Amino acid sequence: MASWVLPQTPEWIVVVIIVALSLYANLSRPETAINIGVMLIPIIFLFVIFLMLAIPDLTWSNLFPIEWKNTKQIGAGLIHSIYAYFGIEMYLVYRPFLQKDLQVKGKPLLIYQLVIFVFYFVSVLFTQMFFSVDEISLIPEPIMYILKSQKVTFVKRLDIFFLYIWLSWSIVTIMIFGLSFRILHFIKQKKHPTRSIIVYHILLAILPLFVIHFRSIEFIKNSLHYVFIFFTFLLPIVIICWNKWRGKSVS
Amino acid sequence: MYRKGLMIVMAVLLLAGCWDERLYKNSSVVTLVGIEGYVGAYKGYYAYPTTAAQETEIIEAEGISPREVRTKANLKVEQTLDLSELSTILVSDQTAREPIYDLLDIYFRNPQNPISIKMAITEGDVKPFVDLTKDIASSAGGYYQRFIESSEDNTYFPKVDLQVVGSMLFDQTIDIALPYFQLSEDKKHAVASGLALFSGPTYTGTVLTPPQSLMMLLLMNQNSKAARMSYLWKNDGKVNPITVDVLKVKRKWTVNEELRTIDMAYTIEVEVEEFANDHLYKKEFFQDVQQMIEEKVQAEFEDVLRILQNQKSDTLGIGRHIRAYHPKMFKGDWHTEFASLLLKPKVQVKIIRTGVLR
Repeated sequence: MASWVLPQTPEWIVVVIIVALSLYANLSRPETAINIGVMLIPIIFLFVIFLMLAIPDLTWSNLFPIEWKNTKQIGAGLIHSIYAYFGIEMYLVYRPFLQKDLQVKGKPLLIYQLVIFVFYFVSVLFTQMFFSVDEISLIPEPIMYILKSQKVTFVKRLDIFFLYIWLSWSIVTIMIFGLSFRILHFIKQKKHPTRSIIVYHILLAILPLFVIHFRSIEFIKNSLHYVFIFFTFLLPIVIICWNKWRGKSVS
Repeated sequence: MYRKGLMIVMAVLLLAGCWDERLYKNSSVVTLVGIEGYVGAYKGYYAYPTTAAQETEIIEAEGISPREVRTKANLKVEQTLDLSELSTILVSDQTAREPIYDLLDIYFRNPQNPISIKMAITEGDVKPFVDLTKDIASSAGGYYQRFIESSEDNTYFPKVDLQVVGSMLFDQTIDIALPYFQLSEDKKHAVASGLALFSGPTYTGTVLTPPQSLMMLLLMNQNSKAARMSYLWKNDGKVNPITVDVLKVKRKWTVNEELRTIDMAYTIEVEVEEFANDHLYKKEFFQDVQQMIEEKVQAEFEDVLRILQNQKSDTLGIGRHIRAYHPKMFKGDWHTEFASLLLKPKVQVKIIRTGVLR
């Protein structure tokens, strides 16, 4: 935010606004936090439409040659692709709250996966085709840059639109994380759950201020996928296997 | 109650926008920038409209880098220069002989600078080209922007903006060709004089004439709204001018990796726009005219390709094609490799329309 739109605004103000919204949602009924996220779904389509404006500027030959033998690069790409599944472990948190007789069948699950896949795939493809190979490494937010380079008549800077869309998604993510904490931890503490939520949000507002530096952000960005491997894949697999085994032994 | 309090606090915090409020009335909104000089001794010109006199004011400054030039220019204006409405950047040909990314870094780095703007090279100093805009009623940058866009529509300039230029500068497999302006003989007008060829990040010093630029754009398969070619057709000792407009270009490149040759087959569909001799319905006239155009275009294609190879300027993006589809043939030092290729154009011209007359 400080680089793209609010260079003069104190960073703590921006952090406080984001956290305040999350605090509001988490002090309300649980449905509020979920519904805010649902309301923002149509923005995804708007974002994709804006991105399509860049199609005439894409260079298809940038995708070739496709190299299948370089396993090191493919491996590095696969690790980064974990970002697409970030948050999938929330299934374990919210599964007990679904209707007991509700079964998630193959087709809806496939559609869900396809939507995520297409969204990320388009983002990666557009980046690859829009920028030259040596250029990509210099651009930390390529999608924003693509939108910035588009000339439209109705707005001077299209990237600011996306920035606020991105911000709203980030706020929803924080809200849902807050909600998960609330469900898992604070609700079980019968005494002062509201106070716990407020303390959690105060910490959420203070701690990021220590890492607002581009080197720290780069470090987090370049290491976060290793954390995801544990939370998104290993931990859910262990829990599911543990439950299966425990269920079997009980029966 | 606490919710109301929270809402009020949030509403107050939403005033955060005030920190980053930038009003045009508090800035000198620059629309045209001219740069000349070299690293350590740059000179910049900033043209902006004055609200009082409705005239274009030009500020001149010097500095060791493009950013310092702007910083020093701010010392000469009553309101800080704001480049968010910039339309065009002019660079002198001597300055472009050095890597031009050095000039452009500040435009890519700051998100407030637009990158969908035009860029052009001037013959000699930039100053007279910037000074020309003093008497223009509309914005100074808008004048050159319209000039360039008009030439783009007539297929004399490629459709590139600053973002595309920046992207190509980082790409070893394609080179840029930028609009080149000269002053008219009476020094009162800018004249679009063709395309300045680059090899990598630097200007080669060679300029394609407007007809050669048009041929280069046809080779790139980038004909725009109009692409007119005029020739003289001789028949029975009489000379008749003929003008055709290119409607469609189809191209097919066939690469022979062993022989290191590229057969460049082009089919160009044209419409006759001027031919006072008429009678194109007569087969002998029609075929003779069509063949004459074909031979002329063939010769011009060969001429342009020779210039591009001599200057090691791969504006056609042959390197991109080779890297993508013939990676074994692609080598690191692409410019040298490009110059040594055997490029064999083969043109076929088809007259498919003759206007409302035959």
